[in-house]
Amino acid sequence: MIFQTKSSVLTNQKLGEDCFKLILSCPSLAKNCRPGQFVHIQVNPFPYPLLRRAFSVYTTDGKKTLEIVFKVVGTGTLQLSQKKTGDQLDLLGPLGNSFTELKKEETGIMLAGGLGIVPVYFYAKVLEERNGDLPLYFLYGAKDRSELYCLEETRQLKCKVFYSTDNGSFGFKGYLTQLLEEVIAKEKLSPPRVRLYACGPEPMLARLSEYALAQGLFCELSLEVGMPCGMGTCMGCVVKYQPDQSQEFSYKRVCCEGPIFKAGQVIFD
Amino acid sequence: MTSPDLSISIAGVNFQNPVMVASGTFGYGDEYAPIVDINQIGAIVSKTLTLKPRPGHPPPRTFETPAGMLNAIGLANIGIDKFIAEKMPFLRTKKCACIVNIAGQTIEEYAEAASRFNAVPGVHMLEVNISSPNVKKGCMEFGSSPQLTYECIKAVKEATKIPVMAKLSPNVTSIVEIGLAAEEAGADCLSLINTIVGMAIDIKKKKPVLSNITGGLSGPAIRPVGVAMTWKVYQKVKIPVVGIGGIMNLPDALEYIFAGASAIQVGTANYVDPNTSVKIVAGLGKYLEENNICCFKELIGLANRPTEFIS
Repeated sequence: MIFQTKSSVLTNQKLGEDCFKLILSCPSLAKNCRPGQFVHIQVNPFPYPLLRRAFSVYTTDGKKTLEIVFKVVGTGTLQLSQKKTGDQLDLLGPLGNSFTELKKEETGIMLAGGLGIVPVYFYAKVLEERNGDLPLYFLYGAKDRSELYCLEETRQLKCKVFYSTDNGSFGFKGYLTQLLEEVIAKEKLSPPRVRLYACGPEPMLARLSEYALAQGLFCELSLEVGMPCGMGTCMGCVVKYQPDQSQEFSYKRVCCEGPIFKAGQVIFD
Repeated sequence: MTSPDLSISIAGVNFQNPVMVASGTFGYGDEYAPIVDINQIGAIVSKTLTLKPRPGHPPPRTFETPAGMLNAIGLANIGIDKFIAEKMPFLRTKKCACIVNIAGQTIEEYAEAASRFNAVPGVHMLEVNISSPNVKKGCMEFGSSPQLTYECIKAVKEATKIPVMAKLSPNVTSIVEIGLAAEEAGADCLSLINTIVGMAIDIKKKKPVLSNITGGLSGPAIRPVGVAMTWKVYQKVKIPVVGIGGIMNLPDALEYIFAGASAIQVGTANYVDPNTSVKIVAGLGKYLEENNICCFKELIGLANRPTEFIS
């Protein structure tokens, strides 16, 4: 079920340098969003910026509210960061596919690189609420401590949370993928029952894909690209897709055949 | 007063209203079905279809610009056979007309593409893409020469009995000449404009943003160009003209209609608000009612009446 609906801004909170969290009142989407899905937001009614902006959902209360977390990277996100309580926004959603189910007896490892925390945090929350006993790990990394925008909220998670920063200003010093190797070794996690769910910058996803494939780990990646339509019509948001190395690659639309893809299916240039 | 008559007959095809969705911006019609009441629209124009499926260009394929966007999709499509098998059954159930947009790399391919629809029920019109700026062979290659336009449209007309609409490019010296060539070749109507060739440079990387280097500019940025070309072509051809380019709402649609368009197509606006076309249909009915005009047809070309100002 997809909705085009008006929503109003309940709060706009600054989480750090250029990073904001909007809590929106939007019952139809709050009730229907699954972790990994996104909403397409018309930032300004007309005329600039013209196109909608896509945002993964950070969390919902399942009834009324929906949260997004974003960084100001251009005109659209700048205008969105200036929204005030009561402002109206036109939303399309929930769009795209979602992370696949973590089964019983499986261990889930969430990997959040920078703002890539958004969809994986949602999934961790949903899994926790559904079954508090599931073995879950949450690995959250950024370049610097100041970019761990959702640090406080991750501390509230019931799962085992580990942090990394590239410069060592907080937690493990190094890449998230290096932290992952450490955690897997330390916690003696065996490949067949481990599932990785990740979102982050493309170099991180590329490194992670390589590692997961080499180790035989199931791994899902949430991709981020610009999307004019968000509903599969414009064909603008494609990625190279090659699940089988013996076949030629094809293009898949991130908005509707993604944004979640299995590691190894997508070619990172 | 009874509710106004929005219908319009173009090339013998009766459209319930003059609002269409432009090729490439509404997929194959089913994608937006969850949130758009397709039965309200005058016609759906399919994404451009070719004999064989096309993967399209590598990404990046789109880029937003002031009041518009560039695209170089490269005619990615599922191919005519799959469209007929998988998409036509859905379109046939809808009240809106179905216009199939076709292209080829050679004139023979255009004719072959057109003929594939001869035995397909529910196809009301063919829109011939001789104007996409994003492929090396075909399309704008034909649409930028009056001679090749004539040959291409003639070949299509000979291959089919379905009414033919030629979609024209603005990237030409004289769109009127191209329009006249299409008319002479037997085109039943014209649609214009396709996108305007444009380019954006990534100043950090010091290279073009789009993988195809150039793309087609669409959106409100091009509306004045589309209105001017609609105006000029309407003056010179006898066949109906369908206006396209940057239509976001009813006032924009009315500009094209007063310039001479018998119908309009909504393109990029579908990405902004998928219900734009439905809203224009509703707005048009209200506009006619408020102005005591019984039927839509009376609006066509109204701005052309004082002819002394026309160059």
